[in-house]
This record gives sequence, C-alpha cells and structure tokens, in this order.
Amino acid sequence: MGERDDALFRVAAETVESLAGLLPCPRESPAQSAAPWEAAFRVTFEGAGRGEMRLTFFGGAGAAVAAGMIGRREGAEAADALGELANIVCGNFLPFVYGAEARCRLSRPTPVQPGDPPAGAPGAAARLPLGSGRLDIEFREGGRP
Amino acid sequence: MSLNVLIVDDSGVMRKMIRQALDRSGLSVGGVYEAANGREALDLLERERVDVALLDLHMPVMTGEELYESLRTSARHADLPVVFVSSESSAGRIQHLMEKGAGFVHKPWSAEDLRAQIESVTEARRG
Repeated sequence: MGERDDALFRVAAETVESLAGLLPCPRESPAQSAAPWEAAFRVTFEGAGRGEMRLTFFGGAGAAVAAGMIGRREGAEAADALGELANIVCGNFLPFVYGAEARCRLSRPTPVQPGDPPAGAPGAAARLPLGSGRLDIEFREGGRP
Repeated sequence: MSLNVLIVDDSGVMRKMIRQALDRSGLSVGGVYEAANGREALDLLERERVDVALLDLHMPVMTGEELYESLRTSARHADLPVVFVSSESSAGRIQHLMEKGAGFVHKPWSAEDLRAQIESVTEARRG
C-alpha cells in the first residue's frame, strides 16, 4: 500500500467514524470480500487537479453508514447521505495530493451504476471492511471531469 | 439564553446532520431555521431573529462567501456571528475567512467543534 493509499484509507475511516459512528474491521473476512454490490457514488473535481472520487458500497455497508449518519437505511435521503460522504472524503483527500493551498471545485455527488466506466488513471485506492460488507474507495486523476 | 440558529447548506442531509450535532452539542438552542442557499438565507433573515448562522461555502445561487460579504455590508446583519461549515481544504482560504471574523468547522465535524466555534463567534460579537 502506497502513501496515497494510506492517506485515503485514513481520510475515509475518519470520515465514516465521525459522521456515522462506524469503525472499519481490522481484517477483511471472506464474507466481506464476496459481498454483493450495493450502491456507488461519484464526485468529480477540477482546479489544481482534475479527476474523480468514487465510493462503492457492498453487502449492506451503505445501509449501515446511512443509518449511522441520518437514521435511515434506504431511500432517497439515505442515498443523499452516501453521496455527501463521497463529497467529504474527496474534499479531505485532495490536500494530500495537491497540497494545503490547492483549490478544487467539487461536483455534486451522482450515483454510479455497476459497469459505469471510471474516468482518468488510478491515483489511490482503499478498502474499509464495514459490518457485513465493505466500502471501496477509488481516486482517479485526469480524464473527463 | 437560547440561541436561534440558521443553517445554510444546499444539502438537506447536511442540514439534518448539523441539526443532530446541535442537539448533541450541549448548546442551549432555541429555533433552528434552514436555507438551501444564500438568497433563501437573506429572505429568512428578514423575517426571523437569528443569533448565529452556519454557512456552507459551496452552494448554488449564492455561495456562503457571497452571503457573508452581503451580511457584512448590511446595516441590519453586519454583526451576525457566522461559522462556516465546509469540507474546504485550502488553508489559505480558511485563514482568510477566519481573519474576517468568521468561525470555521471542517467537515466531518464533531459536536464539540461546532459548539466551540459557535461559542467563540457569539462571545466575540458580544465583546
């Protein structure tokens, strides 16, 4: 795991803990590894750099995070909460990549369907085993914003 | 004395979470009002007594910074205490806002951070 991956893991874990009161499991179980796709959200950024942050939830991790954030496991409000999580993770990770003075404009979060192609080149990745599932986070640079 | 709080954020989820954080903060909160952008906030401030405003920075229609500038040049609201609640990461921009007298709470926040910043700006305004 590289320095950027470490930073992305820390940012995501701290954000999930602060907003949803959930801590990642110390080790990923086989059930978490095999958990089915649940939901995904994407935030693009443009400014000091350009790219996207994508959060993909598996196996009920999204429902657990939304419940921790706003007390709802499903529906439009739960989806909005997961999108906001993507926005905050992206906003907090960008200084690690572009420096504390860098400014980037973030898009509103949008849902992503399985198979939607990501933009740009891989820049960092992290995985948080959460409850019965997991959260995969992927940061990509370049490509269409 | 209870504080009347105005939350200005284009995300309904964020407004709800800030309300929850206010509940947990231990602050004595009276009315909590919500607006989805700076324009709505200005309309609301004409109707309601607000003791402190919590502003997101990045909003459509009128950003938090534009709203802040508008308040500071308004005879009626020039002294309204303001705390920005944002995932803004530019240290220079945050410093710039704080030098103008605003508080700043970084997303993700803790209820303690929120309380400390609200107390700081409301006490500073009382002098």
